[in-house]
Amino acid sequence: MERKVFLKNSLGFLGMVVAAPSLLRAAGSCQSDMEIENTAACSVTNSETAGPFPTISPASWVRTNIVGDRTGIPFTINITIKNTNGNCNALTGAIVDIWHCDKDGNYSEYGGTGMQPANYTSNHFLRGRQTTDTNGLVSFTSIFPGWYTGRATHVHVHVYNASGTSLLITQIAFPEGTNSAVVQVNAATSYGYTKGMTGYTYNAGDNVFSDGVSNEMSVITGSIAEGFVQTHTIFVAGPTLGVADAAQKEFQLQQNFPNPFQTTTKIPLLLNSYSTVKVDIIDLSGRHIGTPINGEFPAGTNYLELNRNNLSSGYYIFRVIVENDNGVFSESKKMLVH
Amino acid sequence: MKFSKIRLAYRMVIDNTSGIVWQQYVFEDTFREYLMQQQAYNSKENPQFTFRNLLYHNDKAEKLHFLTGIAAEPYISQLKGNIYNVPDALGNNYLPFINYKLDIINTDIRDSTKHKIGITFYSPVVRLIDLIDRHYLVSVNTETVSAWETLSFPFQENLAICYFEKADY
Repeated sequence: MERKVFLKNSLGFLGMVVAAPSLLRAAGSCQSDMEIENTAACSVTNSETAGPFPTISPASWVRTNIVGDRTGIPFTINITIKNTNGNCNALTGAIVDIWHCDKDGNYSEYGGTGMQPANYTSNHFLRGRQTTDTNGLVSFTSIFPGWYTGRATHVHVHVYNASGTSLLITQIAFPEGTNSAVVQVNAATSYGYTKGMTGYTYNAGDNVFSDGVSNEMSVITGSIAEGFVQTHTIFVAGPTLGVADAAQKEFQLQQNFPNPFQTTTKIPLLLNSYSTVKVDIIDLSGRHIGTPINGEFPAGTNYLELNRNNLSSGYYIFRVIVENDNGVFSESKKMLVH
Repeated sequence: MKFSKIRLAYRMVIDNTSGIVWQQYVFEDTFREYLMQQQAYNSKENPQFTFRNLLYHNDKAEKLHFLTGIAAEPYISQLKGNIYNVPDALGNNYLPFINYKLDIINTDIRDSTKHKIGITFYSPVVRLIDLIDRHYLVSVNTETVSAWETLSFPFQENLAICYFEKADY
């Protein structure tokens, strides 16, 4: 960069330091402006280190409250993201973008066209981004969306994995019919919802939802006075779990007790689903001694009981093999026979 | 006397050679945002690498201008309404802006050094009093009074009058 340009730009950011009450805001006297100019001039030389440099804020689009300057009936949007590639467990760390229209059916960033006469091209309301917590949940504070010609009430969602790869773009549908939140809200003229339901496009006639909304239908609770809460689960094909991760999710194997043991011992095994469980006993040279347990066990904590039988004293490995609809998983531990 | 009302627009171009920290942040964050947002308009199997090619194949990718621009929003708000690249003749007042628009000049999902954006800042409507010595002599006071505080902004590249209202007062 040319030195001249650089200096000019540097001076520019200095302006933030000086915070001069400019002519633009208040009509100051020439005297005070001279002083300000002097202050600015004095600051120039040490600008690079003294100035409040712009703060890096990549996450500032991440916001819980997306209302902006809009008004309407309070609306909390709770979305849970689940991973079909991870046994439909909660997907942590997924990035969730949502956007929806205001009470009059207008979107930010759009307008001045036949489709949306109101010009909101320089507004950013009712758009936001969050990352799912350990329960796969994101929660946005918003206002209840209105509707516009041709569409049923909806919320747009774009789900990314933690590294920003797009997983799914979808929409959330709203229950409709007598006394539904949609009907109540659109009759709430005192809150600024003036359209009523005349001309409303119902889900069955909606070009997005008409092919069925069973996967996209949300649950809405609340009231006009208290605000409404929307709860919805979205399933995405997220990262495939590694074998270890999957095994850990399928069961939890704990150390046998008592250990060491003389006659009997128990192996605690927590299962997530109904499974076939086998226990192999192997000596330290790798020789298969026997399979004392081979049966079906329900979800929950099971205690697998082993008898000593004719085992001589020493260390043994017990290998637990769990087989169910999600695959075959195994884990081994060591035990000591007295 | 009768004076016109105008709106000035200033366009800042940011690419990988931009040396200002603020511009670097905007550069990095808008590129990252573009990588995320373009997926909705691009083909997974046969992706268009550059924005211009993507736009050629998919008109709807036009929305990427504002979707990418959202990432610049927090940085723009740090300017607190001042275009620091456009100081007045005194050097300590800046052209104010009330609005901006980000456009993608071009970019490439394989190569961030090809990322190039423009941000056009729009001033509020100001009273154009005169053009003196290659300066716009303006006042932010658009009321009908007999005297005004004025500012003079030198003619320069990337600064243009983008709105003109014929005076009748």
